[in-house]
Amino acid sequence: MTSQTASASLIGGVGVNRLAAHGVSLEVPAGWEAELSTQQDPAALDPDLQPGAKSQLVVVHAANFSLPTERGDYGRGAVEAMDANSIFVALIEFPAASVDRRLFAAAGFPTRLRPADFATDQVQRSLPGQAGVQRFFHVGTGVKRRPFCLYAVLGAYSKRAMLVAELNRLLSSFSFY
Amino acid sequence: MTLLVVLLAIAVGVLTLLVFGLLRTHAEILRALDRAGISLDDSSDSASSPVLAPQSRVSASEQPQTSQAHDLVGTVPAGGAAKVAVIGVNHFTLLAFLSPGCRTCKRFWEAFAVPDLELPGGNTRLVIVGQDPAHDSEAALAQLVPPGVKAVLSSAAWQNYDVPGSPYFVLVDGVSNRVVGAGSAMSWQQLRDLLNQALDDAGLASTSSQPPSDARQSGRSQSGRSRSRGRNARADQALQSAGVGPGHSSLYNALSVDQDQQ
Repeated sequence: MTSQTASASLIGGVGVNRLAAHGVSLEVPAGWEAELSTQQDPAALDPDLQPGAKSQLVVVHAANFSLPTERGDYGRGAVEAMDANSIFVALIEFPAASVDRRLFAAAGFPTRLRPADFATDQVQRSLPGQAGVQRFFHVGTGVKRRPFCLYAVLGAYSKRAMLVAELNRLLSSFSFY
Repeated sequence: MTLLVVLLAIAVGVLTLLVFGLLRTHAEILRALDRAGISLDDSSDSASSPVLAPQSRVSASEQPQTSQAHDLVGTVPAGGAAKVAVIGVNHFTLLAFLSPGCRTCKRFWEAFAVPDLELPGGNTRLVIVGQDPAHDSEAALAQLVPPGVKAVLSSAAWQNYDVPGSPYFVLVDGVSNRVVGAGSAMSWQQLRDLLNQALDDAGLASTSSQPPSDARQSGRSQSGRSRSRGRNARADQALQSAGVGPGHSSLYNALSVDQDQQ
């Protein structure tokens, strides 16, 4: 569960790399970059944890532009660097105790978003032209259920049809183990 | 008495052989360090220090094996698994292969910590590449990486780019997916000159001065995605140097002919 691997492979085409860590795996296509890490401050999401406690709550960031080194979980610091063709994706895991909340009732990772799902008022940080979407769900079954939030930002709402198709190609490569 | 003299002579001979052996080993270590670009003389003036020339200044076609660029896959210091895009992007990437224990690298750690550092190429992102935690101290490297500068630990990248030792630098053109230049240097000034020369040789030199970069925002990359603007500027300069300016009649002759033909 805590192991992390980063490997280069030719799975899915030239230049595709698979990253896997903390029970999440994805294929990163050419021109994209990604990071899999854990929550910096898990106590902010889980009141049962002591401040400064370590957790294995995973945070995945992926983008088709250069990811800055300093970013918030929901892309603060990265979305400001986006242009019209940019896509930013964040997958944030919540404490397992949250999985029974109605917010996370949806089962399965959303791999097919629609252009109509995106709106300019669904972004954490409102920037001109950008549009976003947020989906809460859980993966796994029984006691192994894990609650997540998927958050995606497009550089330009006007290009959502083209950008969502590219985004869905990335989302379809996610798997949970 | 004779026996004592003989024993002493033998002892002196053995000790002499031992000393020569040690000196030879020492010389081999110094040569190996020198090959790896590690200087033991901290006070040496960088201007008079030997510099390894760039290994492949231009072309990909000349050295197809070594000039093919690769994305970086590894881990972020004190972080998780990461992939950094180097190819298929519209900017240059300066890969700095550094080690925490390398004394020459200290100059580059300091240079890269300077805010608004001007990078060759006009649209260049700096990425520091260390070795896997099994080879280098991850904690030591995490402490040395300047704030806002992208860093990744990837021994695979060291192998992919045939890195002989640290410090070593590779400039990659993300559009052509090729290595523009690679080599080592003793100081940032020397490295910058070598890379500018490699860009000149490759016909990729930017004519416009680089605007200040915001390391916090972009990880030392230029956020403007201005490759096409740079190329346009180079084309404009070439035309102007040939006496062709805005409104020059030669710019319209071909168009007139085309229109006439239609």
